[in-house]
Amino acid sequence: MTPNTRASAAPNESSDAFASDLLRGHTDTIVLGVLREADRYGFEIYKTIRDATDGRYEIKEATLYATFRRLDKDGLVEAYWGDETQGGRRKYYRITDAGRAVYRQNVLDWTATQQIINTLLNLPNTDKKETAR
Amino acid sequence: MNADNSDIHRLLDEAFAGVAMTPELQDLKEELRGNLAASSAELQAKGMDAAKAARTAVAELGDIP
Repeated sequence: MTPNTRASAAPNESSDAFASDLLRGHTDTIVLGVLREADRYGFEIYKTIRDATDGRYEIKEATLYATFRRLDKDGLVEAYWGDETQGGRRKYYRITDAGRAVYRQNVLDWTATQQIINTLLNLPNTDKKETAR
Repeated sequence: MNADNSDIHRLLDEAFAGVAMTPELQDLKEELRGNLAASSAELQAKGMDAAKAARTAVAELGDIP
């Protein structure tokens, strides 16, 4: 939560005690989710993800740019330039209808997967189950 | 604000130095410029000076081009 720790640390998401591999596999869906409510530019997307997790998950910015390109190519988002006159123009991303459909499907898939994993990780002791019958 | 961004322009040019520029890369460079300005502005709002904020913002990008 210290705001500036990231400045000195190497960009390494795996220092936190959760599986960043798992998260990385959902980057597309996470970005689509961030864009559901409003068009946003790159740093804003990065910041939204960072702040929503209290800094526990900082997507690598390089990963984000690769994601933007892929989502754009697949027609799931559209990019456009803002009309900022100072401080550099910003490239905004807007989610498309196809992007919303993919987002909804991915959330359904994740919910189903999550339930299966939770079930499998909490299998009751089979011996006890037998005797309880 | 404009003065603050001169560091970003310079660092961005350095990062792209020697890279064969395609229209796609030029586009990415411009996108990065806007995002670096926003990132640097956030760091400066936390008390960092402009030069360090620009360096930090660029360093956090990782290897883009």
